Amino acid sequence: MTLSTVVLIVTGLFWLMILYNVVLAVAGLVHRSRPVELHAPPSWPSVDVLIPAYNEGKVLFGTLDAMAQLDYPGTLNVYLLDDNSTDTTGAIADYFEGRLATIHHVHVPKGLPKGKARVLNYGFHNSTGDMVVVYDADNQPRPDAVTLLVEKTLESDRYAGAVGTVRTINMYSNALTRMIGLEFMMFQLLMQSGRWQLFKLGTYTGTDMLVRRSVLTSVGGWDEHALAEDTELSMRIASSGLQIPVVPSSITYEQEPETLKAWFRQRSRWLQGNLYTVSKTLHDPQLRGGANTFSILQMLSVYYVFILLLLVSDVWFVMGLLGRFTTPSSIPLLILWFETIWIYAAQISLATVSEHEASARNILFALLMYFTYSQLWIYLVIKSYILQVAGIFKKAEPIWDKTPRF
Amino acid sequence: MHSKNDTWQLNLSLLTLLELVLAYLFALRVPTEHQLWAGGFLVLLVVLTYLWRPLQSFILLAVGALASSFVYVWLAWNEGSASQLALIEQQVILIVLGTVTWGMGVYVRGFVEEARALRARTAELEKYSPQTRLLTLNEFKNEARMAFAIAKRRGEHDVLLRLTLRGFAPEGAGVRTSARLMSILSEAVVSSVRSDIDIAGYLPPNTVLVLLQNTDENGARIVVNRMMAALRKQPSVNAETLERDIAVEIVLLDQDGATFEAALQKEPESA
Repeated sequence: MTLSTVVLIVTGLFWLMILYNVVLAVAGLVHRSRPVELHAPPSWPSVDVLIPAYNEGKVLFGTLDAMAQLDYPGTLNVYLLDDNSTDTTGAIADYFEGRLATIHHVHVPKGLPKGKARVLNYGFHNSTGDMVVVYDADNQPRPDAVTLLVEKTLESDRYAGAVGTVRTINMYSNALTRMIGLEFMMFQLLMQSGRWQLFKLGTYTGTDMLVRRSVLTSVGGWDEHALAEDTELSMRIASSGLQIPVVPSSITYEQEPETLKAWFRQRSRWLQGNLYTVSKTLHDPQLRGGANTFSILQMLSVYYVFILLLLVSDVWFVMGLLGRFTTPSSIPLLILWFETIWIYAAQISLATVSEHEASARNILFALLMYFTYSQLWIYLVIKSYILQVAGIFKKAEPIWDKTPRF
Repeated sequence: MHSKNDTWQLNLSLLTLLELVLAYLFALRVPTEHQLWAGGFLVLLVVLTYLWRPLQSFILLAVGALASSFVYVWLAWNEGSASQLALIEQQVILIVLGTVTWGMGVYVRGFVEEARALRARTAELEKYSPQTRLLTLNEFKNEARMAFAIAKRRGEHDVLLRLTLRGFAPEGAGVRTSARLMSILSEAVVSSVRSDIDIAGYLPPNTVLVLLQNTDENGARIVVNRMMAALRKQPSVNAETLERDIAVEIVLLDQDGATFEAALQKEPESA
């Protein structure tokens, strides 16, 4: 095989993935541009909102105040699941519990494995509502967020629940949070909507998500060993033939890491969690197949194949600069480079328009992200892979690393 | 809730100038065979921008702009690396021209009407505090001054009721006031006063002011009792605890307005 053929195959694969992402982005725009036509049910099911919390004193007052403002026509109870916090989390929860009958402070007993999934299972087993909604402890949903999730879920018996969208509350705090906000608009809001529009595939995102209690009971609750418990739950629900619709108009605001260190820790945990989910799905015949095969392929392609190709591209670029590698003259390298950056920045810009956040600065940041933020993923993927493999060899439980608040 | 952003404000003059410059570059730098399909696309975009909603026509623009990448990669591969810069230049002209054309279409179609409608709506809403549906402080003062003039002419007396919700102050942090609890208090106040006579306003962050006209201290106490009863009727509220959080102050007002102004100047009570 000649060098030209190898380059052609790599470039073809790279552009195939870019094409897939472009199609998803456009489909996402189509989905988000459609008017929402939800209908109120004859009777509203009861809803339990579960909020796992460990040392969330910095943000919890705003969270519980937002939960108190949820405008749901049926019975709604909010359970603050306090996982042995040592800061003011308990005091804030007590303050709201003392004044509002719908907010409950639940003391979760100590136990293993540590992490969000175990706390959620405790809350799930100690509540009785027909629907279970999850919010992270830094979230401030819009008042209609839960109502919209319930209305969508009740549209069809095939719906296990529904998932809304997350926006960044501190997007304009610094350059990092702006990039995270832009990444969320693109990869979470637009791509997630695109997947639903094209393939009727939705994935829980850990917050602003609703599951029917009956479904959660039948799949056995959350997997307490999973770091990405949301993705893992989505896989088991998909394997039972149910769907998770995406509701873009159900919106919650959450705080994102304001330092690189916190961001690295959070994303390493997510990636490790995804690796666990991929491994579990591939090893379990009941989970393999159908929608899950597609999801696994997408996860592998985005997090691993794409990152590998990015690494190859970087090495190629540096070797070229050092004169150690000559690109065949038939390959229009300049235009490939330009188009890749343009498509990357254009997709993010599309997302900003659909979210009413279009600005010259955001477009400039979208361009910068290609050279900075995206490149950091190479390190992240390698780090998470090493951590996961090391964990398997040591037979150690993965460590739940809580994201610090600001 | 939302942090400050820097979203665009479209400027019609700037858009027009840009459109002219880009149209000139389009005629000068883009080959005739590409002008045909690109021009056709731009005409379609203009027509559909007027017929469709802005986000729908934006999807068409996005599809065109992104598809151009694949077209130009194909062209570059076939034409060799010699003309790459020229191809990039052509594509940039087309993308920016398409974007500006869409922006102008959207602007002309709806932004002016939308801005007018929003201004009217904002002016209406600014009379009220968005969180509590009470009058803002300035609006409250204006209404109160008119009420004083009437009371003075008639020889009547007014009473100012100050209801302050004590906040929550965890160790090492500032005082926080719950927007939801303020909203509950406000609803109880609004339901307890005479809507066509009394005036209720919001003194941020945690005080509700009520000007009770032609009454005395006894009348004010009746209103307070009615408000507490309204709180107890709310199923979502632990009224006993909330009542303890509310500091009630009754100020008998003189007819020259001095006691009223002094009461407003007073700092809101905290935790």
